[in-house]
Amino acid sequence: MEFFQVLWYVLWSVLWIAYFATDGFDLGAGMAMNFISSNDSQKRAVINAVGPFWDGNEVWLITAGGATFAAFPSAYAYMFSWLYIPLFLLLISLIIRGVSFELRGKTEIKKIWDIFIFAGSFFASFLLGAAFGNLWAGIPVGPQGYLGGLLGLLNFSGILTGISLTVFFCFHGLLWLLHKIEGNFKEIIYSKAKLFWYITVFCLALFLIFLPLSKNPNFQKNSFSGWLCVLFYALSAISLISVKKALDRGFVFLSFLLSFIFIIFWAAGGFAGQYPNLIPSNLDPVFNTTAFNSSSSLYTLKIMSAVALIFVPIVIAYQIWVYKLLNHKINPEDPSTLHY
Amino acid sequence: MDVLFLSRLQFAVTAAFHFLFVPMTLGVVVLVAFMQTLWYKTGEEYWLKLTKFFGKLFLINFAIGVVTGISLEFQFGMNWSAYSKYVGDIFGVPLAIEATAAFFLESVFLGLWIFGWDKISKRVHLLSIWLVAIGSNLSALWILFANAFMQNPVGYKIAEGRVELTDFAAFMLNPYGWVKFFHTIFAAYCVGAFFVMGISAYHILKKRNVEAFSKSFKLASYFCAFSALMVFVFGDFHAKDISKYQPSKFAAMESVWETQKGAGYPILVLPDESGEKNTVEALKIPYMLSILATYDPFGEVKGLKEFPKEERPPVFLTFASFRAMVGLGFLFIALSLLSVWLSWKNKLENPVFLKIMIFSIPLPYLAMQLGWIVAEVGRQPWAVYGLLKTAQAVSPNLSVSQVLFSLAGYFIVYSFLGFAGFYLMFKNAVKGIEN
Repeated sequence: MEFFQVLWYVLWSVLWIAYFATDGFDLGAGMAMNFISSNDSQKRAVINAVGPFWDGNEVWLITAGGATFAAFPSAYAYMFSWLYIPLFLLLISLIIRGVSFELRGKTEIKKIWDIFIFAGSFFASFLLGAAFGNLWAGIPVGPQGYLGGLLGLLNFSGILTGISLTVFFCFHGLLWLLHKIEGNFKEIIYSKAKLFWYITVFCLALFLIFLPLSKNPNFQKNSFSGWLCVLFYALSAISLISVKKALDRGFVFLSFLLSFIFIIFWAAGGFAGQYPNLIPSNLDPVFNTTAFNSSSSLYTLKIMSAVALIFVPIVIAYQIWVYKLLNHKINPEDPSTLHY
Repeated sequence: MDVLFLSRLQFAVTAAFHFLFVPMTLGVVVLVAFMQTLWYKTGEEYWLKLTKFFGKLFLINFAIGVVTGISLEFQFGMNWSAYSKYVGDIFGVPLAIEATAAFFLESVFLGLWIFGWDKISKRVHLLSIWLVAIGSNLSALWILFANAFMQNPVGYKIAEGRVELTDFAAFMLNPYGWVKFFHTIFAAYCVGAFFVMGISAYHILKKRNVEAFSKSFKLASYFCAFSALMVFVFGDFHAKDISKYQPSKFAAMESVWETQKGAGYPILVLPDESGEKNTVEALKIPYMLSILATYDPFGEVKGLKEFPKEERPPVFLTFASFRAMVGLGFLFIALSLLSVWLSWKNKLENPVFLKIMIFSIPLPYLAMQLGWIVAEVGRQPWAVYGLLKTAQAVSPNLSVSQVLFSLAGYFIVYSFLGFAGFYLMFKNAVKGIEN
């Protein structure tokens, strides 16, 4: 039983991490779009660069939600009902963003969709960061449940992580655009990305200095997971530093991959640090929701393991295949490369 | 107004809104896949144009369908946390599988289909639309099996204060699930087919691209006639399952108050809920109700009085929705058979017929919504039939203001989406094929 509970803690983390690393770049591109483009075809280039992928990337979120439901039903019930308003705002953000990507090209009025794309991408990134920042720091859970109130997520750790994730995603998105776009626009993105690297490093440094996990009374420094957490954070910092090296030498796709790895390790650090808690209480460990006290039955965990082990590799395989098939470059000055 | 009422209202509104777009997705994607296949096989230019034309309408519809789906998955945890805790061990499984095995397929390959024109081989491009069709149909399978568990729970035990899965095979062999799946999927094909027929009819009436639109009309009419008949066949199986597994729902659908054997089917009925009787009951077809419920003319049909008042669903709404749905179902069979016959005889140019087909576009949508009212209102007061009441399923920690806030938010955003989506579909549908 314990084996499967640990396995599902790992898989649960992996699904969230996959969501951050994939949807992160299209959320980032959505935030950056209005600021890097000076005309409509440049905006269209941005949308075309993420257009084929954002929906498939977002399915990682649905899968993470579904996996939480199936593997840790009470954690799912608590997390989603306690964070009711933030989750509602996250949903609205994702709704207006996704629909804007799809419908912008089919209407005459562009302004409203541009605002939606920015606002949806920004609030979704910030809210995700704020929510996980709070989980990493621990949230006030008492005998009656969550005591944080309506604006409970907007504490120091929440805001710090929210801003950090927003910045990381922006950087990640710029690197994706750099990889996909060519022509004069590429030069503009290139200079912005180089500049943004410093902001990203600054945010990561702040995040590591004021580490939300350090506020979590449940954080076990001297345990296997505690050491993993330190290792992951170190690797994420190294990856971020290497992004700069790749970027300076003009290895654009490599710099995107390194940023992908940076986000993976950064998020993995958090999940390793909060192990085995899905919802850590900072009041009393008795109120922790853990992989062990919130899991499904052994039988369900086994069924779900079989499903995950069969389908997740297949999904990753065809997702990579489709990325490769749509590996063409986009140039705002060449209308034949702009579909939407 | 309490949290329970508002949460029910919110789920009903968001699910009904989502389901304005889902059936069209399920149906039209199959027709678009057929059109593209015909282009691939014949090389005829009009099949390509039709694929792109209906493909565009499909994409507008899909955009809204896909984004409004996540809020349903999340609402189980947000508004129905007691439910999620109690049945998550089972109910979470099909939802997680739906995302892993179906949503990815649908979303990843839709991206490839939209952006793959002229960039990938025609074969792989054709494959991508079929994978989207398979993915979306598979997602319907999983979510309907999740729903089937709420209607007819199987393969479980009650342990540690919750429902636990004991037999995944039994869960997947839930007869209720398979019948519900086919009934719903064929109904969705009717939505898609009426959509294609109605829009084709409009352009035939306007004498624009008549050759192409006669082809799409013909294709959709065959698809529709087959589907409408299948909806009827599986609807009949479904009724039998309901009378077997959910007798209180069946009694409400037919407004039967007294348990009876060899029951007749009154064509005209007016239920009187408070008086526990029917004010009007006329034109009775002998033995018909027993046959509908059990195949046996002398079979027993349970009446509503068999159940305590607090365990009966709202009778009038369930009954009226069911009757209207069935009536529409028969209308669809008639209209689709007529369509097949007229397009076979090449006599599509009858303006009255074409106008009827244009104005029929919303009817299968309506029938779908009515069907879900029967399924969900008819299950009340249960969230999981016989196991958990809706009133026990709601999140204990929510406040009225929280749910009011989200309900108002959904109302505003969905009104905008609905307006934008239907306006764009209408605009592009009327514009027709660009030459």
